[in-house]
Amino acid sequence: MKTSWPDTSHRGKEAAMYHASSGLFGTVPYICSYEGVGEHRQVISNILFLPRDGDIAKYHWPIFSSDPPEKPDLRTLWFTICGVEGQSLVEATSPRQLSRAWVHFVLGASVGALRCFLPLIYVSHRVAVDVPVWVPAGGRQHWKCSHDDKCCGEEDIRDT
Amino acid sequence: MMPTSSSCGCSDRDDSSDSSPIQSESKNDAMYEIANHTWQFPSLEIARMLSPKKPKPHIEPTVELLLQHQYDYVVDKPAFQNALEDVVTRLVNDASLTSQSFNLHDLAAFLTRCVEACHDALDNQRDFPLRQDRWCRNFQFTVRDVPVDRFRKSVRRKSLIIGGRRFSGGGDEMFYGDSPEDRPANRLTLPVEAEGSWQETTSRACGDARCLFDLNKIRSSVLILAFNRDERALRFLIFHHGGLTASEPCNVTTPGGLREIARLFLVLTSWSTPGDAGFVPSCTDAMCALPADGLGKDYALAALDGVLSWSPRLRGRMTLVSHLRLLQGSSEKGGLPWAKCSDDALTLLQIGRPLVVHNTVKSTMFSQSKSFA
Repeated sequence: MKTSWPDTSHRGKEAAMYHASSGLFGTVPYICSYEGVGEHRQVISNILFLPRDGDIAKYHWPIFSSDPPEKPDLRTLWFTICGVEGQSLVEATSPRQLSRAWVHFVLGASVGALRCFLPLIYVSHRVAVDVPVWVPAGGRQHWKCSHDDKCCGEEDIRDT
Repeated sequence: MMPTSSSCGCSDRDDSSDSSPIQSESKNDAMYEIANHTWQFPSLEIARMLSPKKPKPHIEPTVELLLQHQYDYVVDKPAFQNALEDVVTRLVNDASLTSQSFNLHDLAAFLTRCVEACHDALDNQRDFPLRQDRWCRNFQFTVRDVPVDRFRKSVRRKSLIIGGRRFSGGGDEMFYGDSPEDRPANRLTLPVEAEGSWQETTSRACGDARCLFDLNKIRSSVLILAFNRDERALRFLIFHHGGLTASEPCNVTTPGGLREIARLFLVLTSWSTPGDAGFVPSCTDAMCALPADGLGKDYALAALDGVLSWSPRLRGRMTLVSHLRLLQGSSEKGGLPWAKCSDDALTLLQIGRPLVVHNTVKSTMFSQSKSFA
């Protein structure tokens, strides 16, 4: 589970990114994201602690800096749930699964080098410290194939 | 002027000098992180921010953030005003506040008297939680030794006024929540920093806030009291993920200042839920309620077994990645129960469909949390 407090200008963007890249290129399978809510079903945020955009100069407290920010730092709490963490290559049950995992690792490492899919890439690579490479664990995973519509959807990688 | 900690008989192994490399670095980090995102509001506005509240009857929570005018606040109720007058009367007649020897111990005793006066006043009013259900029950302030900066694993300690529940009374050590099993009572809940200037006091409060955020990584805000010895004034500091929001200074020696202090303490005393105290109702540092359907009604309890990645900050994303272990309910393949949600359900979750956790489960979650005093 990943929790973070992104600012509201990026609200929901991570969820869309995780959803689109789930299980691909070395990332862990994505399950869902949701915004935390309070006891009265209100979205948890820090909005009540901040001034309105028009009152920034009025309520700024020059304790550390005399210059007020351009706008208040408004954030909400997001939860992201991912699937299996991965397993060692030696756990592969077929040459095809091993090859596929290796291809995903190479692509994922390239993406990670570009610092794109953090921190989930970080998590999968952190596992790779102990094991050679991240491999999607058994079970039903979502895969998308561009060449054949019949392949789209769920595929049990352990059986392939 | 208030004497220093050493002159009031407290330990002074700290440190408080700026020559301490750890403390100086910590202050610089805090000032860099908070930067210019510091705000101050009149005490009444701070009281509304901290007050138990609920959306007005005609307001239906959606994905939109609720604004200040869309809530009903306990602080605006007539019963609260009656209790406030009662507390003000008690505090104004407290002659100890004008004593020249007003030191750390006197300040701690004053804060404890504030809480007790608020409890007594609320006991005489209706529509407030019973004393045993209040967040600040058995609450007291005392002067103890605490680590200078637990976050940096500092072994040096300083004297600090701290507030909390169920103090054992034995030993000098206090802990930022994760006290040893044999001393579970010494948990620090509400630190009070007292220095000679607001900048010094606030810098130190930043260190306390970071420790409390580090203990409960998913909490939404941290409250710390700041006392300016020279001005004899108190501020309530709220650290949140978008910076620091403070009350305007309340002088403890003037009737007007005491009234504002009484109002703010009365708000704290009226807290009764984790959400009131800045915690996230569906998640603690040890357990989390996860959505098990797309409707926001069913959920599964999971334990947070380990931290994979944590970005401790005072302001910002504060990303936490942790292992989850389901405690009840699972799919036939051992996966998470909502993994087979339809795409529609996932879409609902992605736009922030509310997750409602029943009070009984919430109570269990928070009672099992180590750092939840």
